[in-house]
Amino acid sequence: MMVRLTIDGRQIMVDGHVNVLDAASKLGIHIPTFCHQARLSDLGACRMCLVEVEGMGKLQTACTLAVNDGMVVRTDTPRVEKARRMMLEFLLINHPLECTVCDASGECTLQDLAFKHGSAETRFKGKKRILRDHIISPLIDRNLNRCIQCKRCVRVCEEIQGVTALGMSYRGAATVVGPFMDKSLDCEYCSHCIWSCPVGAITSRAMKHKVRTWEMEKSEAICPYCSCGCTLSYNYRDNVVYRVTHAEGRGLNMGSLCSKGFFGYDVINHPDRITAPMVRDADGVLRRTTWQSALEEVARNMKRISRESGGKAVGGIASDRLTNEDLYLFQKLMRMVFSSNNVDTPSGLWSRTVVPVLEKRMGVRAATNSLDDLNYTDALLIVGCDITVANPISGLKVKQAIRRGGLVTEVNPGKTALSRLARRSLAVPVGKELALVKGLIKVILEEGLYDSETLGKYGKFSELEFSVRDKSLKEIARETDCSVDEITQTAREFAGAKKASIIFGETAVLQAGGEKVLEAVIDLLVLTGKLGQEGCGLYPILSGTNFQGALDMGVSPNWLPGHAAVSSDSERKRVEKAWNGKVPKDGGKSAYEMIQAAAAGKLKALYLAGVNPLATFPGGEDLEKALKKMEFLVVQELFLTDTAKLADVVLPATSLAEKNGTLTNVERRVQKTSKAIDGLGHSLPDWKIFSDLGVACGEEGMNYLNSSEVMDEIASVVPFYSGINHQILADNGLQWPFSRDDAREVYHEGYLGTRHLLPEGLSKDKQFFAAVPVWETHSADSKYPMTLVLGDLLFHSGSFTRYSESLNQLAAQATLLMNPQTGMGLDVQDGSSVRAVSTQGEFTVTVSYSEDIAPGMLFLPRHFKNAPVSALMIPGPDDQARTAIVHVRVVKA
Amino acid sequence: MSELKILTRNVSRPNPAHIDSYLVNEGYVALPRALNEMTPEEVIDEVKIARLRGRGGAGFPAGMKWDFASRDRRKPKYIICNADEGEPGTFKDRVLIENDPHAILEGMALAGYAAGAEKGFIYIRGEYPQGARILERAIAEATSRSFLGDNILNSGFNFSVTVHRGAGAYVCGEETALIESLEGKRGQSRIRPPFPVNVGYSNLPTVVNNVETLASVPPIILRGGAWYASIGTPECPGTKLYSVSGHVARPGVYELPMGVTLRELIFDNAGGMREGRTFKAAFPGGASSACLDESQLDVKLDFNSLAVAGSMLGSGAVIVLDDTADMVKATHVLIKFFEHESCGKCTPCREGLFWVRRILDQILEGSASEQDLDLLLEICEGIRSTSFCGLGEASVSCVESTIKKFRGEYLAYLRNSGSGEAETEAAS
Repeated sequence: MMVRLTIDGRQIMVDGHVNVLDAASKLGIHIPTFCHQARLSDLGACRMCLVEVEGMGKLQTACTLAVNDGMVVRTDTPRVEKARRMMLEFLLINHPLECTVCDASGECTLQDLAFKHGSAETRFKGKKRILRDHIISPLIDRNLNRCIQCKRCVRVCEEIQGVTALGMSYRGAATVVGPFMDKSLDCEYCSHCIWSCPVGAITSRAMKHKVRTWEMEKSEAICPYCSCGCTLSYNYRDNVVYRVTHAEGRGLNMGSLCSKGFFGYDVINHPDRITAPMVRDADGVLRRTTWQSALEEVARNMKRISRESGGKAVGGIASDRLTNEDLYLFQKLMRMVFSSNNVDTPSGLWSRTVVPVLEKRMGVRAATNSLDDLNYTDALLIVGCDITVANPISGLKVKQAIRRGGLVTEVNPGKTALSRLARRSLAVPVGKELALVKGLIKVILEEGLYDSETLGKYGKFSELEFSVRDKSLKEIARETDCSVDEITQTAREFAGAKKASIIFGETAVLQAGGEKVLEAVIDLLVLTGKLGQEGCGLYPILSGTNFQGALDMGVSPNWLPGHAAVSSDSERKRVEKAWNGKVPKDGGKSAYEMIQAAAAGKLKALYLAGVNPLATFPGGEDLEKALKKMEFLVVQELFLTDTAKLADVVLPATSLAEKNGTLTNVERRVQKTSKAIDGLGHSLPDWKIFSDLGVACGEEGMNYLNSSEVMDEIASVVPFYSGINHQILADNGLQWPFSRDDAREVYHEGYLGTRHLLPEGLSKDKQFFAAVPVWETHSADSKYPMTLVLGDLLFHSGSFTRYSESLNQLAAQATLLMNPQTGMGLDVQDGSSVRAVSTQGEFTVTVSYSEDIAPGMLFLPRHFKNAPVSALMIPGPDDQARTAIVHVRVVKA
Repeated sequence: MSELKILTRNVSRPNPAHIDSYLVNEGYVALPRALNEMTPEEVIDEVKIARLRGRGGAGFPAGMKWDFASRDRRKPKYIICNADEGEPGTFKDRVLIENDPHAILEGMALAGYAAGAEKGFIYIRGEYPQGARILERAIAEATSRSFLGDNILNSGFNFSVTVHRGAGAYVCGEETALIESLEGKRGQSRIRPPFPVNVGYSNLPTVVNNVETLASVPPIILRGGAWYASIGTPECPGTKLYSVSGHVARPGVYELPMGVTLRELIFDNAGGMREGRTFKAAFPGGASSACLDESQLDVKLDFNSLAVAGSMLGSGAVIVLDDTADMVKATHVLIKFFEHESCGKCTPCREGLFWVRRILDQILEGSASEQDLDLLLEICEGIRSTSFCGLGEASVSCVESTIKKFRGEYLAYLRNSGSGEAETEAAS
């Protein structure tokens, strides 16, 4: 309902749910406030927004006052002005006037409002209240004396982050904000408290006293650290990024960031960045050189080996952290210039496991729905994924759904940050996820909870029924460590919900037989009719920043740009025509296969762009031997990594903050990211290096002026990218597919592109039900009875963030997490050293007891040097190298 | 005017808190009558006819409150008995809690029946451990005799009561802060509207009534609203428990018809002033009311009359001061209380009271000037007009009223500023 009200003599029509503060702002009337923030619950505590309302005796707080038809409000009377001045005077009684050394100076609401309304003289005599103060964490500083008790930090921590790490203690003028019992901060370091503080009470230690706020310029970009694709703002001066700030209301994250996005920027201007090309000289030493000589060296050797030993002897692996433009040119370079389909990314393994199933079953190759849908989901099933780590901001959306009453069930071998909030958290052992999902299907079939339309649309369920017949719910419950009731309730909630989705992650897929879980999950979605509509769909979530883009760009041994099969003559021809060049006919090798081929002496030249196999690939020492054996190794990197130290040529690339381009996030959203600072030293954007190298190889078709030109070519080669360019993406990301015709049209409530795939449901040629006959994906070898889950920590993503000093303060070492029960069974104490042994190898690591890990399971963060998980993982082709789960034996060191 | 014992009818009986003592004197007669013979609407109507006004301080008509809650269609609903008797000078609810707990429970059950609630809470201040024990025993007694619990007296009506002890915050006497505290949160007031009758405990319809209000209900149902309305003044019917403290000969709780004058209360009932002393001032509604001086001894102690006199009835806590009292020091004591009890939520109450106390410190130390008195009044006006809840609003009444009525005593301190003799001068 719309209502008409008058504010300062001007009339306005607004929605009846709006408060007076927001109504006034629509008229351009700024009512000052400290405690109000749109995303937070109303508080009405700071009393700064008091206004006069006709017919109401007392002044009213505009932030809590709902508009009424005919309401007459005044914000400009002497009474209002006097109240405002009074509030400021009250707040300044105890607020220290140390703006000269305060990091918030220049963007402090109290400073600004005092400047505008306050009196220059203070009438308060005597000593200010001085509160005991101390640092509460390595990265977040609290200054209690500056605090104005607006409670924004407390509310954002509880209402948005769902952590409740901050609260108010004591009362009256002695009220302080702090962690429970005033201990050190135990939280996710999401930075929301820093963002929400209107004064300098909560600040980042990472930029303390380094720079003044007004000296920096700001530039929006896409966060480099995961596939969520959040918008952030780099703040820089003199080509140095001094901090990241939250881009209020912008992007799919609406400004929210996680610890990596907020604190991880110190990687950019890290002193160890490589700033010039290096070529190994006759003495075997890497020496700085010019771009020209370095590129000539690469061109000569790559071309020579390709010519002499064939394209199959050449390979390239690129990081999924690169932009679409980088990745597109990378595979074009490898295919067209070096005649090789040996192109891959580390996340290719995921794509080759997940995408064929998605394609076969649903005809899609990505998440069907939008991340935004997660906010409003009624029931959500999360299988084998810690969404709060893999995609922290998607995790926030799930938390919002929970606050709205959404029923979330987690199926994970350990507890996550969601477990405390979710409806239930089922600690299902690895390998038994399939049994759990089949159990849900069984309940739905037996209780007739399936979608009645499904029956008509997709035929009979007899096969599906048969596939779940041979085990009783009781048996399923026993095997999955759940109760019959938990399985039954989960099934009923999921089937009964209007909007129900499934998130599906690495732990479930990247284990031997993982695709069977995905098959069963799709059966469940089809059976319950939770497909093809807003709020109903499937989210396969991998954390790799641009894993979807890498697939879309054809950084894959079997797929060309646009998911076109290399084996298809017509598709190859189409691409060849666009490129005016040749694409080799035979499919290439995956990343791990390339390493094996290198070990066998079959792969002679390897081009690594942003990839550090020694930190992340399976193989341990064999891997290092294989890399050393290379005739020619090129590493294009930001840092001289262990792998780069082995290279013949090292090319300095820029970080995402130093280049323009696009990234495609986990929900198919193509977003433009913009350069904040110039490339450090002589470093160049990856696309530029590939382009220059192509030209150095004599290929004029590789000559591009800028990344925008590359995108124009992508749009002409990748059918579902058709119609987009950097200009269209300037302000808003778009979810593919889009076509040239409708890209400018508003598709749905201001969204361009496609929010939901499969609006018509599954097409007739699809396999509606896989009816997986078995109950477990794989079983462990009795010699290696423990299941080790390899994953990320909230504070790190991949090996890249290890260069962040800030994030290292939160977590710098890997420890092997195990349940105390498991530890006691093994006679292993908390803090003691153990050897973890797999079929492949072993290493020694320190144990940490954690109740969050299910008994019998182990968890180890990847990518830490002190725990080289590479030694444990099985190298080889896709069906063997499942990198999320390793079966091990643990013995006392 | 002399005492009229309706609420305190059982207080002087032997073992008054025991259910048998209560039953002897028409205890639990009103409840079965209401359950068997009256509809919930009729119970509400009877309380409306009685024009019973809330005894916690605000004086809101109880019948209307019940009516609002009963009309809200959301369920479950709650009855909360506010026994967080925290206003300095108030100790009248304690008399009922410790001596007639069953009257409170019967009143709660009647309120529950009227409003459509099946669950009641008694939020009792942490400083009343004995009262909490007595209430818990009374609940057990009443439950065992089917006056509480499921299917009360075979009527089909269920009503159970739980005692919740507060943790020592004055602000939790404010109904929304009380509800927050009951929910396990920090005791701070909520934004109103919505009011608890619609959005209360667990965001569900909730009636919050004071102990004395609820204890008044059984007699009203028993004898009728008209009878009750004939007692006291037309606007403020019934009897009121007055807690009289301070410099009187016989401090204590006195039950008198509403509208008794301050003079009658002190001199006819509380034994007059202490031997050889004369009346100087009284705070008629506890620490948060404005003081009355000698010229106001004939003011009637009811909601309306005291409002006209620039003060308030509040919970009926009459703090009497004689000619030995130093009004500046008395005010300082009261402000220290409010500064200590400010919850810290809103700026004016949190920061303003800190400032007010500082200025009073300076006045007493002899380091203030006359301008500070004007500043003090300006700050008080700011706190009163902008605070989030009643605590802040009422906290400065003592300062404003004592400056208005006893300005000379402040000036005496100010005149002696810096001489170091301020205290002796003013006290003599």
